[in-house]
Amino acid sequence: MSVTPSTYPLVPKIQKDTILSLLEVGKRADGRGLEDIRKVKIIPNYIEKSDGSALVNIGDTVVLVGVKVEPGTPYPDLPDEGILMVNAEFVPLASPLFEPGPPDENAYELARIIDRSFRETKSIDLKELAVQPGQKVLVVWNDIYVLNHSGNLIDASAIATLVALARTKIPNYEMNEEGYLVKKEGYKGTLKLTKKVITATVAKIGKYYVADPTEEEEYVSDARLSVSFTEDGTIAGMQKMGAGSLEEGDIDAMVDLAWKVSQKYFSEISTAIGLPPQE
Amino acid sequence: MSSNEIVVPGEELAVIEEFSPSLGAYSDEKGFVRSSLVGMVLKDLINKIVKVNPVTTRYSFPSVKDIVIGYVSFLKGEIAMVNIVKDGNFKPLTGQLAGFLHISQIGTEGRHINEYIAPGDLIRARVISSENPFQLSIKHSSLGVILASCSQCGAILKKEGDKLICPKCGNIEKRKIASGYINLKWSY
Amino acid sequence: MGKTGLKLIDENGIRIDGRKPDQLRPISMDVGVLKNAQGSALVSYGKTTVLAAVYGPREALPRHMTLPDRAILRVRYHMAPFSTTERKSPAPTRREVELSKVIRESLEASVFTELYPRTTIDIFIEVLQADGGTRTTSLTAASMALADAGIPMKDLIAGVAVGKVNGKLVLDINEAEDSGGEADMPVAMMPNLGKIVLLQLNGTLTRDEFKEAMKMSIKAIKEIYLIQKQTLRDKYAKMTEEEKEE
Repeated sequence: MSVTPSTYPLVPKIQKDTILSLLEVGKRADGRGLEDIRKVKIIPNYIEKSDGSALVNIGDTVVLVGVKVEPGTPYPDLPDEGILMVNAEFVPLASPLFEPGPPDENAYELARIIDRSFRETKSIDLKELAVQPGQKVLVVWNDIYVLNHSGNLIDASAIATLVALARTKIPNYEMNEEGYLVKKEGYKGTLKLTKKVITATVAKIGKYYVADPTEEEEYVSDARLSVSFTEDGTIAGMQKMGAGSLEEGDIDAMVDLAWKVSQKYFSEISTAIGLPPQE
Repeated sequence: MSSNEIVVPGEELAVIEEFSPSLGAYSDEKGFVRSSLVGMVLKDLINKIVKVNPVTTRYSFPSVKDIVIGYVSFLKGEIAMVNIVKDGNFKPLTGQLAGFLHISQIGTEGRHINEYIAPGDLIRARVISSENPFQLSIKHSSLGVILASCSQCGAILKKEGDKLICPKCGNIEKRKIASGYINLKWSY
Repeated sequence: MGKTGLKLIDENGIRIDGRKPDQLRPISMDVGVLKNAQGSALVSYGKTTVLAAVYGPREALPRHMTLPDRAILRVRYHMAPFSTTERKSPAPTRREVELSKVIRESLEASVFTELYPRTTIDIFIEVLQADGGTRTTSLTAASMALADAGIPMKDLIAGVAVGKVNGKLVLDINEAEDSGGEADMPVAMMPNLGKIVLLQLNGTLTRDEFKEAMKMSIKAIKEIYLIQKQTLRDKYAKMTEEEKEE
């Protein structure tokens, strides 16, 4: 069951008034222009014990992604492919609004947006992860951990996921006599990332479109649009969020802005992980 | 100890025979006066008092005389319950807290509380007690309702003169209006 | 030889990670690392890394949970799925429930809860990487997060685990020593007051070994406390300097 969020309406209305007055003159509360993103900081390999990881800051938003590669059983309809599992935890230390307990709808939505973008673009060569097709495959667990929520969790999670997966090493699993996969010393290689995919979110507040919204901006926005792109500009997923509506013209403008933003993310990521841009 | 030195909780500041502990300090069972905070030590040599001024506090916990912002959650008899959500500058507090207003801290006793405030109103109030739930007052002209919605149609009320008028349905409502009532520029 | 038959300490008394028996791992600490929380701390003992955050004092709902004469503490110790060698499901385990309780009870001894009646102080602990000693690292971090939050306390709390491997007592055990050793004894105390707030023993020790283990842990806790104190001082000395310049 999904229920209309019932937080108090009046303080956000005051905030919206302030935000709109600023947007009218081309400004935002933190001094950014409408299309500017906050400072992005990426630390790859933050968790030494994981097989791949990245800590990402966008402004005050902090997201940590850790990847574990473990044995599992393939899906019956895809017997010769490994599995990518994307999970998100909104842990209570990240926001006064997060409660302990199983993931809420926002956490599931976030995980599924990221999951779809990688799945649909076949960014990861899952065939390579089939140790014994039909029997034993490797599962790539991509756990997204939100550590501080100051807005735009989706983009931060997308960046952290891409960097973590790009840096994931595949442990050396060997089948023993009983037919179990046993972890051996060292690594077999790195996860093959065939395409880079990123997600960029644009919020619509009044008649304005803003890139990389803060928590306050998200809260007062009429709607948000998250758009996933590969490096060649192919759209690889979209999600409209928020209770308001968008017109066709809005969507065109928001996709254009999302593409501009995603190029900034790609450039930050290339710098951080030292990978050349895709040809 | 100079006042520029930062102490941490548990650090010894004095013995009880020399100084009595004030804010940010306490005396343990062995008679040592210790810091309870990360802060700067201040010793009042005349009154023989030692205190520690905190340096770490990010968001404040209301104390007496502070101004806070809150919502009226419900009215019951002579009391209005309030959810305190922000400090007087709309900055976050240590968390959401509770408050209550007695009719004597709103207007004329004997009159009905709903002549002054209604559930859902956003108010600016002064804190007059030191514990959660905090006793509040809106008697001063700068205090009272700062934003309210129409009881008929739900639109945000505008202040015109000393009245609140609904821009949508024309309904006029009575409130204990704060001098800083917020007339929103945009309507939604 | 330990339980698993592993040799965890060599003829010269050197441990698998190169430490001497009474040597701590490299310790690092920082406070005020999260924007939203009232207080926060990031603490590492070697590869064990713990993030702690404090919210409150704030209203607890439902309200009947609160107490008329003091604040309640709500503590959650939780391990990130990628913190362990094998992925851990994010659903809380029996172990995490127990550790949340012993950590809460340790913190109760230090916090002046009577200053905030009918509120809750929430302490959220996330183990980002687990390599032994996570509960003691958590307590060290939680105590610093509380100090960073400006919540009055009798003393800071520092903790460390002493273990027994290959028949020898060793300080600040890592995961290999914990799983391959004969005993794991986490200890935490308020160092200025000399009061122990956490003591558990998983395994077997003789009376003499126990006494020696206590001595080792208390000595180490005092070392860790000095790092806590220095970290808090440096952070706020720097901040007050910056304020003056503004």
